[in-house]
Amino acid sequence: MAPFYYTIGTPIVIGGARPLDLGQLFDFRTQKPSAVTYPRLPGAPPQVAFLYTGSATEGTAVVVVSGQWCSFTAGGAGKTVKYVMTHAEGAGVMTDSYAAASAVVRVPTGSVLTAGKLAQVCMSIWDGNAHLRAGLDDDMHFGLFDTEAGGFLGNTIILSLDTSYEIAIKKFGVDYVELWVNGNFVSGVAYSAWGYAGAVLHQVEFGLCSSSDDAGLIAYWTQMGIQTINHFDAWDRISNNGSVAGTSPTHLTDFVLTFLTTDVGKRLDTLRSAVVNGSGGNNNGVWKIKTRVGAHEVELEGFVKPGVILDGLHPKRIIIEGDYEAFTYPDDLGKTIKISGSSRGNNGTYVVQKLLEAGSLVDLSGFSTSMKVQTNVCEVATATFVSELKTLYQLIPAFVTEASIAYRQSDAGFISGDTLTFRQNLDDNNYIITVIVSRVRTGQLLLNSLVRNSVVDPGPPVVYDYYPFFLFDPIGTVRGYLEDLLAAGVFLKFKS
Amino acid sequence: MGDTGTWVGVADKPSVVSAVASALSVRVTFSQPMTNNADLRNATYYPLTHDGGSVAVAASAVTPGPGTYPTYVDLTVNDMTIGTNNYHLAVDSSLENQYGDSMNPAGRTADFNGASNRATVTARGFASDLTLVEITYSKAVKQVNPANGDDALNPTNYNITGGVTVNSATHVTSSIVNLNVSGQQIGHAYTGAVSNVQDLANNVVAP
Repeated sequence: MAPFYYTIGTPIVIGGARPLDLGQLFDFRTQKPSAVTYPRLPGAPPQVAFLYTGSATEGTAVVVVSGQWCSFTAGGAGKTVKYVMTHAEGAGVMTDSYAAASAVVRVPTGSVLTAGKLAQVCMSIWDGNAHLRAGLDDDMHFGLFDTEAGGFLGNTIILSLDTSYEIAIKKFGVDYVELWVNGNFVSGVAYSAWGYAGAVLHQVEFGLCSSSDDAGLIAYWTQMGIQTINHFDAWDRISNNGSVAGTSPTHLTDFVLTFLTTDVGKRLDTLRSAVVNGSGGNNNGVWKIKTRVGAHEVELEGFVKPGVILDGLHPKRIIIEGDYEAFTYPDDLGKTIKISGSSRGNNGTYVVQKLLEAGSLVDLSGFSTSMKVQTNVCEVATATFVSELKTLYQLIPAFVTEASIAYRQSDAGFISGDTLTFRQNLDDNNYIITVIVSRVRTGQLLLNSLVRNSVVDPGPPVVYDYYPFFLFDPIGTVRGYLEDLLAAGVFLKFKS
Repeated sequence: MGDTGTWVGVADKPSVVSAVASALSVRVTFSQPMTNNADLRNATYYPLTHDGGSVAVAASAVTPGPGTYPTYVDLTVNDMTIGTNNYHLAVDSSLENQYGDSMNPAGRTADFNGASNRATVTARGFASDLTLVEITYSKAVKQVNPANGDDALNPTNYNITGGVTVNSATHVTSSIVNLNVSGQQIGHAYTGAVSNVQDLANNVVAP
């Protein structure tokens, strides 16, 4: 007999499901862009990087000048000569992406440029929201633009004929867009300067992209570099349908999406609050789903954390030892903070009235320019704390009414066997998704003499550095039988 | 002065000393250095026969040993049936030693033991389909009739412990068979065994 062994493994933990990041340089000195291939994933067979989408015939419009570049020639009025990398080819550009597209391009003497046709020599990023473009006018001004009719956005730079330039568009999420030439910053423009260009396209495009190119338009493209970094995680669930009310200050309602019983215990961040409560704070926060009140409503609470230092000389002050991100100014002003684990009468719930700068202990509301900052010191409205170390604290929502608030719920997806179900819509097909997954049940076994598990807080409850203490209870099975068999009122004490 | 005279050379014809098989190869050793010519490298000059007769074994390539006059050749052969003196070699008489002497008629044959690498087995289970177990053999195995006792498609040749029942086996490739099973659970490790299945040279899978 020939033995065999196998295990039916299943994902135990999903760490995230993000569109694949990209960092590749593509060389056009010996082949056309449509012939360039690269492996989407390490070790995978190389696949096509760019699709030709020009209206001119690629075979005649694009010529490889071996060792130097690919020459793009419009060859006829109204013809485009361009290439795209879509999601299917691995572009992975989303609205929230940090992305950069760079190219080495050169416009030769004799190339016929047309005034106002900024896309005639152009490189662009479509991110599912905006069409971020950098292009060239007939006077060789090169800059960022949205629509050709709208002209350049921000500063431009004048390029020279017969000179190769390394041009780059850098997109920083939805904050701003930069243009760089030969490694020098040229222009930075707020992302909001671009209009909505549709949710469909997620791609990087380059070439002679204006539909009104002159027949004599020529440009040489030597290489393209694309880098995409994604933070979007489809394993989370993002909703813009949240709603909170001062009448139930710990509850969140979503009138569109539903909550499940399995959501209890999951992290939920309330985001982009636009209201200000009576203490100057808002509804933003990091929470845990405490209970599922109904299909569309949950009750939230903060995470219980250790490290509270109370000083009787400042009876309203709470310092969180070592956690300089414990509080966020101004978000946490007005929130409830619960102190527990005290043996000196400090337990109770309080209202965060001030947030003090870490180190200087200056009231953060006193600065003339207010900005979001994190700290580990707060003062509450009413308290008479006595000195005590290492109690526990927990922030509790104190929502004020806000009819529409966004939130992100972590670990929202489902696993069934090897199949993942997202509760977050993807905004395009053909994403290459990186799933961070563990199928391994891990543990670390140490010699008794090597175990270090300090008591963080003597309690009660006692708080240790690490849990659990025991990965395996060697007499657990026996104990179960014995307890079942023993007469009522008889208790065994086990030593293990 | 001593005697003088004339000596006439008596041809010392070469013989096959031995034939020793390893998996997919047979080394034929001669009693003398041989001329490395087209005849020595001609695969048809090394006809093999097999006792069982059910598996044809033909030399498909001849690789002489080192040097101008090698003392052995390696035959690349099809898979063999493991056995004792179950293969027989009779080299062609036209092979020559380094002096042009052809083979000794009484020394052209050799018997040898068939050798083979028995098929080994690996298996995979899938959380996405608990009715499937993929069995991969290291070489092609018989997949002719599920009713045959030596056939990889016969479900009775598979046994999986832990409450798993093998219902049927289907062909995927010459060396891969999919088992339809019931009783598997996610996260469990399973031990199984294959018995009786033979490769195309009638060798039972490795124990």
